[in-house]
Amino acid sequence: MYDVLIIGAGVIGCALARELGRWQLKVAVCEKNSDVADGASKANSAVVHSGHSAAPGSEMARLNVAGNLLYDQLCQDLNVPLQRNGSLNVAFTEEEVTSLRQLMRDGEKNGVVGMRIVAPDELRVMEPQLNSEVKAALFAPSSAITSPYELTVAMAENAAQNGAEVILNCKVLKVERREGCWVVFCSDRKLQATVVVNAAGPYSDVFNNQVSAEKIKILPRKGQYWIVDKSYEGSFKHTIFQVPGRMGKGILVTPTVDGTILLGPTAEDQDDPEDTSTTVESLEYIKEVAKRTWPALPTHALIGSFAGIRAHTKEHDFIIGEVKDAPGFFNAAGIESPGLTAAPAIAEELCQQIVAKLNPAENRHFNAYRSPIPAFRNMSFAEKTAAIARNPLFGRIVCRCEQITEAEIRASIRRPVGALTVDAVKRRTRAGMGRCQGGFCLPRVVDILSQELGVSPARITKDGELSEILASERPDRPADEQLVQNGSGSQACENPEVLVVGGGPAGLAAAIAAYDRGCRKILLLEREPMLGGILQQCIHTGFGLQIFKEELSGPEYAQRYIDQLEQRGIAYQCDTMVLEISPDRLVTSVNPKLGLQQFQAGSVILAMGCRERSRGALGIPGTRSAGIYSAGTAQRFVNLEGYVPGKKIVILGSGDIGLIMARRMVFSGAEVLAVVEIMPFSSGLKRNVVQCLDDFGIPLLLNHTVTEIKGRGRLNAVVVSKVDERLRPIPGTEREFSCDTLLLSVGLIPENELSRAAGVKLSAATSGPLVDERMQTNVPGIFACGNVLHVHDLVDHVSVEAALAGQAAADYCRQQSLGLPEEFLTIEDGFGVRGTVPQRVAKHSLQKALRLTFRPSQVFMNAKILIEADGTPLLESRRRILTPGEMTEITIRGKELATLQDKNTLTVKIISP
Amino acid sequence: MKKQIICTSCPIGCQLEVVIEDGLCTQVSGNACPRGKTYAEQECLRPARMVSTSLLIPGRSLPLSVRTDRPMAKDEIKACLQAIAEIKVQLPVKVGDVLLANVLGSEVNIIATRNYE
Repeated sequence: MYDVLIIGAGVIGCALARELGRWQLKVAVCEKNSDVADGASKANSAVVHSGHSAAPGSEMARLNVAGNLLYDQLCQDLNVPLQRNGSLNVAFTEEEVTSLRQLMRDGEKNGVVGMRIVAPDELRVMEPQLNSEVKAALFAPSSAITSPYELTVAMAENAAQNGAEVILNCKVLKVERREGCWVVFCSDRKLQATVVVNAAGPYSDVFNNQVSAEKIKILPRKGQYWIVDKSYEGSFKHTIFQVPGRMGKGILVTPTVDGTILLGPTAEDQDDPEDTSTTVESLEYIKEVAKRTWPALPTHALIGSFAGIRAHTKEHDFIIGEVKDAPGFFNAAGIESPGLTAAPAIAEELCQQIVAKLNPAENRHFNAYRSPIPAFRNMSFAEKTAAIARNPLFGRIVCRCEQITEAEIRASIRRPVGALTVDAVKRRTRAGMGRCQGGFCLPRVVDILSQELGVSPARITKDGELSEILASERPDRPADEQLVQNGSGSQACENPEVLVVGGGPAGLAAAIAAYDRGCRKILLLEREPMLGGILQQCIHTGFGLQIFKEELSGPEYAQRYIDQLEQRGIAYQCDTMVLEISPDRLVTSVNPKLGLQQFQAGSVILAMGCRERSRGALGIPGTRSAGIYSAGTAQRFVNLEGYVPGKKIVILGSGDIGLIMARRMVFSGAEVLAVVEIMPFSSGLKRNVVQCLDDFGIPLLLNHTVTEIKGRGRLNAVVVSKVDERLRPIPGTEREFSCDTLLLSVGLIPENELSRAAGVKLSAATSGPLVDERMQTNVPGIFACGNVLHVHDLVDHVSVEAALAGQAAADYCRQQSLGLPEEFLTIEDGFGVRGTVPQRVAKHSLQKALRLTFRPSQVFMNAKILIEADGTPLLESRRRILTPGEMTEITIRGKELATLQDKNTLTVKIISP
Repeated sequence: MKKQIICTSCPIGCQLEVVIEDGLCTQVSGNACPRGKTYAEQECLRPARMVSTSLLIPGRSLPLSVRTDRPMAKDEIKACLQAIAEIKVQLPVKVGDVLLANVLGSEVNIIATRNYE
């Protein structure tokens, strides 16, 4: 028997549970989903509104302003981020300026303080990116931003610390009055309570209507959003609204406490309270309207979209308090924006009413404080060192994009109201929220969850029931075995001459070449537990034909280089993540055994490889179901973890990994329905189309793309459409494939976050560093090679290029420069050519042959590659076929190079017949 | 009869034109190297492919990656995968160790592609 039972663990339910902890009451919160904050509380604008947009006299207005005032204390006590960044409502016409004045008067009536109208001159200083056509804006300084799910999780944790029970995966079906108390029938149990609080969001009408004659109706209203990548952090300081309309506050542009920028929401009424799918039309609409606020909106930086459901009512006001004809039943219904802002005030008010009814004693042990999971990424050097000394798992980075450690992930599962799912881990730690969107860390997170929860990895879900990540069991697998091969390789090397970041094919070849050039103080750092990089999961053959004249698999190719490295006694450390490289080559790394280390390197070789483009980057509308993986993630699951991620598969993108995975999935017993490619040609190697698709009768649908993802929980279908010559889907050509998995093979992106922070300039064409003929970046002593420099087609090419970088890095250490005062010849891409590497060549080295590589921008048959020096033809080469899937090479011989001393620019172009 | 095929001997993927007479390949063009000719002849006679897969080692999390040491007749790939799945591996193994000789009575051996202790 509970004193108070709350239905729904959203922000309202959790705020109330926490507030009730101040009293001696037995409190439970029942949540149908696998985590708290799993509905509207995780998918909203994350804005703590000032309160001028609510109708004067409404509950909304009163509780908005009251709630806003409570936020500073609340976020301080719970250690949740809050930034009082202020809001601006912007007007584009005189008519809208009039509306602003009305808004300000409403705000004053509601008790909002500090508002003022800002003129364009001042606006330009406040927000330089704002559309210069804005005539005026209403500034409200009390508006703030927070992290709504972090806040909800924190309140739930704090409530649990103070004695409340948070029961997840517990769906309330019916509430009935029986013998002086409430009986609450749940999916798996029956509970009794003196007081029931209905905080069921879009379902709050269901429970109210079960107990009261005064019926209410919730109209689920969907809001869709775009997320702009963190690299645009700082573009806006304030939360920017346009002038509110009938359907809500309109499309806003706001910074978030995470450094991203949110655009949205739409307001779309629908019947289904669970349908949080996104749609093309709405996402396009948001872009269009947001551009009014932010004309320079970088559409290429839209990294993700999502949708949330607001519990709208026709009356458009909160329904708060005890239900007249159902004593002991309290409503917190119709909670839509500004529900997040009002939550602490609603909780206080309901708590007072419940206390007045039950008259409990005060809880003298109530502790209002909640400490967060210590975030490694925010620690100082000394704090990091201390944290690793305390718990070595702080020394193992699991999510490399966000630098989240294994210690944090385990803590998020062990804490009160701990994470049960991959998404819950993500919400509590940010693991998987970064640029790769979990591509690298998902298998690790699944593994850790399985260990901590004591269940098989096959039972781990993305976000609750029916959203399993994997499609096969493996009872033979040990629960906890570290993947350590090739020795753990924890050799010390103080202040190495050459430091290599990354132990994949590029790093290995570079280190070996540096050694063979005479350098003896070399240190190689690798983040995985074994050397070899991505080759370890590429178990198919096709590697080494050029270098070893044999057809090897990835692990064999890697092993040949690992053997060479070990024969030379080159020092290396696995399980070691580089956190920072300074422009003067001070390298900071972390390892669970060796802790935080710093090396002053003579030269640094960047060989960090690349990551896969994620779904977010594609903006495919639809549901956010489980079963969508990048091809490389699936490859890791199958080849390194021994799990099959799905049984019926569609592959989007015909990159090599996608093609290879098509065959691999067939070998694993899965059915591959189609490979869908938006371009008129495959971006993979022709041999892979033949031996991975044609051999197994898998159709390759060129000029097609996936236009919708369907299925709650696990994916159950994708819609594929034909595209026109401008790559736009053609209406009426939709075809639905029922499947449980979508693999993405839509491109690779060099991982240059470390390089950028070191001051290395990047090329827009390759997304890799700009280098000279010796692979040196613009920062002296920092070199780059392999897929971090540009995405290769063949590993053999990587090894050749990396050897150049290794030799040059060794030379640099000895000479502290590569010789003469440097004068450069610039190399540019011309027609049909993309991403020529190197981008410049030092004039003093215009003697030996110069090898240039690039990708053709499209397929060319019987074309010529032409190199021009300052507009004059230097050399040409005929090719039968040029395709973007293959890296094209062209070499300029010494004889031709000798003629270039007085030239400035080389242009590489394609002449098509 | 003339037929277009793509050589899969190496990643270049030459577009070959072959002339087939009485089921035999009598002429090959478009190949950049001699392997293309061999490939085309085999492809017309009985296509064969390299097969790579992995084996679960009971009690160990990392699967052991394996492959055929030469191309396997395409029509026998399924049976070959089945035969591989039934291999009982004795650890340790080194890269290149033969785990199953003369699979399905052919000349093809299954070899380990990873050192595994």
